[in-house]
Amino acid sequence: MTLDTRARRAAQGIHRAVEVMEMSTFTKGPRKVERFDRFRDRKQRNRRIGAIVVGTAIVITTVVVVSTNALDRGQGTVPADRGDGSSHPASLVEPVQIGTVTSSGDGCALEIEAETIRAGAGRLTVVNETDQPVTFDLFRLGSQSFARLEEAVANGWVYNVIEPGGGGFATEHRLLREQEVRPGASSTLTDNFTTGDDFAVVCAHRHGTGGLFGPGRRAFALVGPIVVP
Amino acid sequence: MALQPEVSWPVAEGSEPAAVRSSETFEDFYVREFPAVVGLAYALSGRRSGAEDLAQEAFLAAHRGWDRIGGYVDPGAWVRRVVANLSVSVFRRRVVETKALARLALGYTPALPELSAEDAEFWAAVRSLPRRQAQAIALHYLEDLSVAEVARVLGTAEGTVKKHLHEGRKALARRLEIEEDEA
Repeated sequence: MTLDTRARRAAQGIHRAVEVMEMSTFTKGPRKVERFDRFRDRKQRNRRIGAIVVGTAIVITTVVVVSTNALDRGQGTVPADRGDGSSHPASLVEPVQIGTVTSSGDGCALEIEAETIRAGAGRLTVVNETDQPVTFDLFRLGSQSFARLEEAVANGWVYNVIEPGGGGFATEHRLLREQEVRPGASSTLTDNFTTGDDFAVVCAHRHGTGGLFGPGRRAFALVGPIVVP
Repeated sequence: MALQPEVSWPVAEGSEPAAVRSSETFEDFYVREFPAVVGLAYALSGRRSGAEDLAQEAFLAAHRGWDRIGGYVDPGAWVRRVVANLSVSVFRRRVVETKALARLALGYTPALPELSAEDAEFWAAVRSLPRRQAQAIALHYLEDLSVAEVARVLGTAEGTVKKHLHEGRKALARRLEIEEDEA
């Protein structure tokens, strides 16, 4: 037997198989393409199911991602912590307006607006009425140290963001919040004002690059103390 | 997976829109061509349960673009090229086979009967050839297509088809241990 003979015989085998298939699936109805219609419907149904599954998966993933992020953000606000246990509950509790710190040509002034200062989330509005940027730094003070800080500021205390305790204060003061305000603009400082602590705001100008410890500041005024009973 | 042929396809003469140029409805085209296309899928895939699905996939692709494909000189060649490519695609074969196995598990019986041992051995040998040789051999013997017709279906030059047929036949004769003769 030659290859051609064998090939044509094998081709006949396929043709016979297809004929058998045709006879077994022959339909007398007007729709001669019934099998095709069934295949197409099945395919469309599977595609719809696939789309529903994918859509559901996307929705579930989105919900999980959004919830996780929201949770992370919520957790992120609580320990706006500089290592000493202070926290920033601004996103959890509406902060109470404590007062306004205004920087003008005469230095800085604090006007207390709250009738009583209570422990919890508090907000200070900071206003810059000068013609150069001013940084308002909110500190929590060590006990009985406001006078020492006042003296240092009067002498042009230079400090940096990473280690504001420099200049002889060691870890006596904790920088809780910092806010640089453009000339003629205002902003806010919000943090958790804890019972039994004293707080103060140092008004400062930029000073050099700060070297290894970040941007440097030269204090020119101090307001406070804000005492939380 | 793209179901479109890789190269442009000859379009029927005339300036009428494609939908008008096509004198044949998709239904007539399907009824006329389906058996041959299933046969080609069966020969090239070797899957009793998946061959019909492969053919249906090719016709579904044709149906989606019938306004355009119906205007081709030979839509049958287009659908053959699609099914020939689907049938030799390992990935596509596996997908179809998996679906078919799932349906078998649900009680579906394939409509295509088993081939005789001798025929099955021949087509298995064809499938063991390189892809293009297998396609050329199947189209040539199964559909009795000339070299020019095979070239049109596969979208290659006639010289290439001659080479595929020559090498394919030689390899088949060696594998099946039978005498090769010139067509």
